[in-house]
Amino acid sequence: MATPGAKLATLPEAAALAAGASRIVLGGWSFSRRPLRMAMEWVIRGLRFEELVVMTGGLETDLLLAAGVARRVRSFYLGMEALGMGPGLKAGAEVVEETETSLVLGLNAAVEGVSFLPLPKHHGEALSRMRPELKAVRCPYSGAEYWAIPPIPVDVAYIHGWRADPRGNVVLGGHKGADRLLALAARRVVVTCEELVDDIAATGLEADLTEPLVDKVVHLPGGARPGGCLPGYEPDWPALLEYVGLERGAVTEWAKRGIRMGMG
Amino acid sequence: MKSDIDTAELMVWLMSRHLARAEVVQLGLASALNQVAALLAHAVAQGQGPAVEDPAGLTLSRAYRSASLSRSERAAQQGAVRRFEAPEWITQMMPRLAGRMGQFVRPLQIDARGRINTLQIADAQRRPRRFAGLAGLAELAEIARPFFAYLPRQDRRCFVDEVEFVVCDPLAANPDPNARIILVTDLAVFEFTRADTRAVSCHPWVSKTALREATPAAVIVEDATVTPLPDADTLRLLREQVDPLGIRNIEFLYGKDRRTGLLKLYADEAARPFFGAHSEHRPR
Repeated sequence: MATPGAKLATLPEAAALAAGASRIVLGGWSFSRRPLRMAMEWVIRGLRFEELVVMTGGLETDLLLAAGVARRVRSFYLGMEALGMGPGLKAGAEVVEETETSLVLGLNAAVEGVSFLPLPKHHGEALSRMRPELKAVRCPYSGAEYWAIPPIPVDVAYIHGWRADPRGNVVLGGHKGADRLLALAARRVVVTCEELVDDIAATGLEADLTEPLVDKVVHLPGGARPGGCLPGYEPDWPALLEYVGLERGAVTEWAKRGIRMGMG
Repeated sequence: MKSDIDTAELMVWLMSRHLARAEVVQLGLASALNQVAALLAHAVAQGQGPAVEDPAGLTLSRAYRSASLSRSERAAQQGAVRRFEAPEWITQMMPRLAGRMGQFVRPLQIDARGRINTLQIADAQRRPRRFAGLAGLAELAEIARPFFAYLPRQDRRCFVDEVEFVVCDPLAANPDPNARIILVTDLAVFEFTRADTRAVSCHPWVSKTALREATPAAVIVEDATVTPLPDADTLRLLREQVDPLGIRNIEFLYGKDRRTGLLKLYADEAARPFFGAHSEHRPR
């Protein structure tokens, strides 16, 4: 049996697990609980991986594309909402298009170990034009047509939460996103957290992620800045807008400066 | 001559009247006008209007609250009866809401047949330039009846003869022969049916000539009536309680003005104690 502290890791140790990976997924949603300090670490270390998966892709996605950390991104929504687009997305990027439903189905297929899950044909008309590799199937019972959405297995999921204990029990705080599904679809799960407590059970809170799912825990206060992590802090719009206005070549320096200033 | 109401206020009020008939309003990401309209519908109905699903927290709530943009996640938690996980909302809840869900979507393009594009348009060199994405538009098109869309700045680049890429086709997705799409713009209100597309009403300060020039030729505008205006009490509710900081105006700002407006809004929201729930004053 692992000792309670065996999952505790340093930021560099945890960051290195993404090196050369085929597919990395980042938790959070919109400006909430994005693992931005981890993303900055990859940028300043010049780390590379193949595919980034995000439900909604915001600053973290833009930064990783602009810096060349991720070669392509898979998502159903990219952009920084009211704030516009950052330099990574403005420059154009390789995108594997998804819809909300197809992405959930693909991740669920990975969790369940099946070769596909069916998406109703009429929900996937636009998707199939962007993804010509998708195959159509016919239901053996009803005869209805579906798009067969293949599994999206993930090498490592990086999730930023509010509280965690050394065993890997995690309370996300704020928006739950799809983080439990992302963790289930991943071979390894790294959690960065605002607060490290001895035992989540003793806090009276129910864990969103439980210890059998989590491989590494990194105590990383401010790890979602300049985004938000409720109940602790909210997004820093001036910092986000500063990023939006950057040239693509300036993002690495922005990440270095952000780390020096404790932003993330 | 324009009366004591601006375009943003008129659009929000028009949108709120449509949303008031829904059981659940989905706010959508980055959609200030839809948010303000939903909260106005809720306030006008004194809490008996639609419940609000807010993607900023993925919550369902009936709390009276003011509109929020930079603090939207915290606002979304006000009075929330549940924080959903995204897969639960997307694949389990949304399909159950057919005919009961309302949401105004801001398309990149909408065409004379009501088809929606949120994904890509060609740049000057005819290369596809990508925008937000496919999101959940195909799913929404099937459950939102009528389907609602809005354009803060209607012109021939966004209201087009044919969209460059069809993300969803709400009339085709709806099996009802009387399926409709409602489009609210800064110039007029349009209705799309299987029979035709026409301007239902033209805003009082917009000429028919200006409307014709900004509208695809296949759309009938000639018999549009004049858009009615909200009463003074509703305007007061909007300005003083639902959207005292003017979040609705963000969607009408572009370039440097937009950046300045966003920073001011952030400062205004940060300077106040959290004002999400306006429990201190009951709506009419």
